[in-house]
Amino acid sequence: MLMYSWMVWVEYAPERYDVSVKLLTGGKIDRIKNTIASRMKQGDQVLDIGCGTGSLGLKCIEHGATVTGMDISESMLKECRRNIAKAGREDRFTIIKDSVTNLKKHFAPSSLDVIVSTMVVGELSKPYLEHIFRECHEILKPGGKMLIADEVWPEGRVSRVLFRVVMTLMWVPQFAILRRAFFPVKDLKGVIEAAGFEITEKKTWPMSTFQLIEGVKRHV
Amino acid sequence: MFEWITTKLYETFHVFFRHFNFPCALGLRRIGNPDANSPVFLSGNYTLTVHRLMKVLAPFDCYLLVANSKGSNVWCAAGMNEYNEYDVIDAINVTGLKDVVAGRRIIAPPYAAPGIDAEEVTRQTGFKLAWGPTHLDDLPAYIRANYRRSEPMTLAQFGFLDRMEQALSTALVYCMTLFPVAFFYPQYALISMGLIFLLHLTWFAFWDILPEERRWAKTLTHLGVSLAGLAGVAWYTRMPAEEVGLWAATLTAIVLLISLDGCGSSTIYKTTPKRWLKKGDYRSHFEPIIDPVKCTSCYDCIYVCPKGVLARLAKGPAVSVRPDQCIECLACVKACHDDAFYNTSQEWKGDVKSIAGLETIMTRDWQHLEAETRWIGAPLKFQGQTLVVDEQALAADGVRPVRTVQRRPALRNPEPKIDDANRAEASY
Repeated sequence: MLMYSWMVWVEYAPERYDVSVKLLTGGKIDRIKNTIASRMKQGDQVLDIGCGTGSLGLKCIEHGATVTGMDISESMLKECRRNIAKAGREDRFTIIKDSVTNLKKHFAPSSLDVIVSTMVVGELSKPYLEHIFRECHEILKPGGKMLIADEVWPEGRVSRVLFRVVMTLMWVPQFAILRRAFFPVKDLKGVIEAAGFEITEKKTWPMSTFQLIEGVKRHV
Repeated sequence: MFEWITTKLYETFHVFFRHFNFPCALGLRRIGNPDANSPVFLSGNYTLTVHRLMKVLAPFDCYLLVANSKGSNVWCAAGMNEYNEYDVIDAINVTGLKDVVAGRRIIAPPYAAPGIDAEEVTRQTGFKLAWGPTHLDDLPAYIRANYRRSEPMTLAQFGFLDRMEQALSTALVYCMTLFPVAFFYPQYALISMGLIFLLHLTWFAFWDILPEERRWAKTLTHLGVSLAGLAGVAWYTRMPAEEVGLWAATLTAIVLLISLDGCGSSTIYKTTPKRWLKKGDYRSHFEPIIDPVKCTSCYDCIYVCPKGVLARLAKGPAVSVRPDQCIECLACVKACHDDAFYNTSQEWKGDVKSIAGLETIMTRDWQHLEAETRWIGAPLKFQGQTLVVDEQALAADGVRPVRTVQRRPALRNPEPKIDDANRAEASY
């Protein structure tokens, strides 16, 4: 019974996903996605890791990019296809259903201008991130950018304690809405740097644990 | 000593909170001094399971590959599509397992089979998944038997200790739900919590003694005994009538709650509350039947079935022999490369999310398979790691009465199964 009602809940999740995330982040996620999309240039080849419902990819297309979205959740992709069709962007949005650890299977080295990702890396652990960012570095063109936005552990000691308290309190509602335990990344910047990127920007928002990190692949 | 106490406390905590997600670190664990020829075992990242696996596997030199099941046990995660082939592929890619071991075999828990497309893992990584014993306590015996499973190792069991853990963890969840009531009626709430624990313990402790759940037999016996106990207490303490009424109602509510909870998606039984209320048993909706023309005799479905529902013919395809035992985990449907599964009942619970185009498979017409119901109830033997229909015993039986299966019309026209949606594909 317990499990049963739980499962029933999950069934509705994908359709509610965008709204749920907006609620949880207090509307911040839209602003972050707009900021990322505004960095696109005309004709950019963009990869959206964990494209989900495709909202970020569609925003990038508005700025002139051509997007490839990658995700493994069939229900999310279904929603994504619907959104793409609604926006009439079938010609510029390609979907690949495969794992993000298989990037090199789908992209040749030095073939992409930009890699973007929001609210994905929080679901992955550090060794996974190291693996993925290393592959990202390979498939980007020299001078190509990687833009990652996610919840991270705050750096100050006081805010860290505060954050832990809030996380504990938020755990139940977050779990109820998203069916996922989120693990904010510790030292996201360090992991991206370790993969060979040069960090060109680290943007934070006031009263928020969100961080946007821009890394650039320098010529090797 | 101190370490022993902390370990026991840690285990006790996790047993009580078994219904919650506790993710642990992913990656490749080295147990003992493994080398390139050591076996690799697969697990999800549920903390208690990994802790126990490390303990059970401690005497052996081996690797434990912890893939991301999002902090749930592999059974629930697999059904929810939170532990699928991609999680295993990810773990293999990230840990660089190809360079660590020379072999290409991973011993996987059969409880993960409803979620994992083992063929896809092999296609993408070269590693083959071998389904190990269902319960991790059987692992040492499995290893010593040269990685061969005996019949009990292939089955979902529900031993006394497992049942006690189930009782405690489930009771805790209900007590937590009831907790707010304690602010208003502390005495009533506390005694009810005690009763929740007590009745969960009696239900699961006397699981084998209570009659099997057919026409509510188990529930009614449990309720009867509980009420008799209450009557005894009431008589001894000279309880006022209205109080007896209150506790009788509370007891009945808790007994019903426990029985309804049994309709959940466990490895022992899986049905819907609707069916339980109507028929009074825990049988699942799905009743598999296999198309012998489509079946290519790979027997992957038999290897993953935790209830002995499927068997193979000595020379021939897999057949469905005990569909009444099925718990609708759909591991067989997930494992089938040939789209050979049909559903005689035309009904299904629908809690398994890991199979694309499931509705079509569950509701397509199976009229052409009427003859295949002749294998239901056939005598079996365990041979070569699978159940085999004992055709000698079958012949000695003489003419067996043809088991009649109630035919229900197919809900919709058969459509081709869209299984490509589950594979890596580029669309648009």
